Formats: sequence, C-alpha cells, structure tokens
Amino acid sequence: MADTPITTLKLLIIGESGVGKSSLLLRFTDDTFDPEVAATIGVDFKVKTMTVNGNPVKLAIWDTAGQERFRTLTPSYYRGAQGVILVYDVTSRSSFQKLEMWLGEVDAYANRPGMVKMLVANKIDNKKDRVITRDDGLKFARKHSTLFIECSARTADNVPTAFEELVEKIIQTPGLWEQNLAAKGVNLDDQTVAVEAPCGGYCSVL
Amino acid sequence: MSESSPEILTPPPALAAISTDETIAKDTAASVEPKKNGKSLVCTRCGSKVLLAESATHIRKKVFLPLMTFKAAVAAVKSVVEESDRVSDVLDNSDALHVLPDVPGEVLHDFWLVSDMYTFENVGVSHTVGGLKYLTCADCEIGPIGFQDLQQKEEFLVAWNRVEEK
Repeated sequence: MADTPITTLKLLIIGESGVGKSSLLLRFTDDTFDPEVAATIGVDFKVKTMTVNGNPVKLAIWDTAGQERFRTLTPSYYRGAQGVILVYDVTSRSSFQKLEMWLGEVDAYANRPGMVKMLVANKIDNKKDRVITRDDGLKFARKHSTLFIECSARTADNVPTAFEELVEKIIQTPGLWEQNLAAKGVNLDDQTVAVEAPCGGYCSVL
Repeated sequence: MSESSPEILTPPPALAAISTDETIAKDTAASVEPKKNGKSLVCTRCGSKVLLAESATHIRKKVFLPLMTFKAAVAAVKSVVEESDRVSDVLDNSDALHVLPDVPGEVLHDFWLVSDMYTFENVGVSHTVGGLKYLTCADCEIGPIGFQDLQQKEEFLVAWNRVEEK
C-alpha cells in the first residue's frame, strides 16, 4: 500500500506569458513535451504526488492559466501557498525585468510567513538567443533570497529537480506546513520552533 | 434509440434520465450498490497513476463528454472557453452539460466518484468551461478523463472507460 502523504502543499507558478510556465507543469513528470502547448490551453491546476526524502507529499500546483495577460491574478490565487515558482525566459529580457513586479505581488498577497520562492530560468537550451546570463539570474536570486535553478522544459533538464528542491525547502521550514495527522511513521517537529523564516539562502543546484 | 445526442453506449432504461436533472446524481448513487475500484486507475496512454485502489466509488450517471485528446477538444471550443471563463459563475447547471454541442463526443454512463481533489494521486483540472472543469491525465494531459460540475464541487467524476484498472 502506498503511504499516506505527510502533507499537502500549494505551489504557484507565475511569470510573464510565454515563458513556459505550462510547459514546466507538464514537464514535471512527463516525457512528451509538446511545443504546441499554446498559450496555456487550460489546465488550471494539477494534483501531483511526489516523494521527498522518502516521504510522500501531495502537491496542488497552480498555473495562472493565462490570466497574467490581463493582470487579474486575484489575492485568493496566492492565499495559502507555501511555495512559488517565478519563471522567466532567458531569451526574453522583458520577462526578466518583470520579475520585480511579480515578486511585489507575491509579497503583497502571500499570507504564509516563510513561503519559499524559487526563481526558474527557463529555455536554457536556446543558447543562440539567450540574453539573460546565469549570473544575472543568480544575482537576482541572491538579492531576493530565492532559490535559483536553470532549466529547459523542452529538454527536461532540471525540471523535476526544481520541484524537488522547492518542496524539500518547504518541508525544512517549520511552521510553513501542517503535518497530515493521518500519516504514520513520520515524526517531524510540528511546533513553531523556528522564528524568523530560516530561509534566506539562494542556492544553485546546477 | 430516440435520443438526440449521439449515443455510443446504451443507458439502462431505469437510468435514462436527463443529465441536467440536478437530482440525478444523488438518485443514481443511492440506487446502485457502491463499488470501489479494486485496482489503481491509470492513464490509458502514459500509465500515470490517477487514483489508488479503493479510493473511488462507482456511480452511474448520464453525461456527455467530448472525445479524448484534451487539446483537440479545447481547441474546438476555444471561443467558448474564453467567454465562459468570465461568466462561468452565472451559468446555471442546465447550461453546464450542453455548452459544447458541436464538439465531437459521446454519452457515458459509468463513472468513478471522488469527493476530494486530494484523493487523486495525479490529475490535471482544466480551466472552467461553462460551469464544468474537465479532468486530464496530469502527465500527458490526455482527456477529458472526467469532469467536475461546479454546482457539485464535492464530486469529481472519472469516466470508467477512459482510465485503465491496473
């Protein structure tokens, strides 16, 4: 029998249109990347089960479903999220410049102290058109205390890693998630031991 | 057969009610022996695990679903999607199952019922189309493998013949 998940987590994927958010969501466990995934054809969210350090965790991963084009992401979209994936396209300078705006929105609406943020540089397989360097990304991540990873949804490079890193970081952040009481055999300290979100480090998993 | 919609499966006479009747779900559920799925339910194309064994209950309900390959279905109703996203909360249940009249589909009768989205191992949930959210394989996005009627938020229905018991 499969184990009961130790927790359920809400994750968000945000960023400008066309940076590959939906592809990331698909790519997570799948090997049939479809370049035709036209401007977010409609998956609102996915429920995914993954194993982190031997513990099953259930994720609800929300895509913006193209609503970012209308600037209508509502506060409820952010509410309750434990993790956010900020995506930009390394071949699009404007998608990188808009990150500040997206972070501002996260900070304004996210209501979970210690929420974990991960910056994802997508489309790194496109070396020819690349305009945002790895260093640019790292600096931004350092400045805003986010995790950082470069990936390509097209070649599947690092996409599963990105989700795993994010979920591990959330699990390591006390008080950010609730243990599923039905889960057995796990005894993580559920108290609010930690004070200030211990997060803070950027990290590169490349 | 005198049904107006293209029938592929034949409904048993007792259950040949109109799917938009709001009471049908409860009546149907109550009139049939609840049966759980003995094995896991997986995607017929990529094998992604949708539901663990014993996590869903069989129910009978008459519902029109667009044919599989979600992307094609969505493309066919793209304008409907865009419109209905904004008005979905004012659509009532009678619109819900008939909003896609021109999409090729079939009427289905057997479903696996799940009442909490976190019961799913892996599933994709679509944008709202006329009061419905369609379910897809989370990994290869084939679908609709089922739907959620927003009038009945506690009911996720997975089409019996669109997943494989394994």
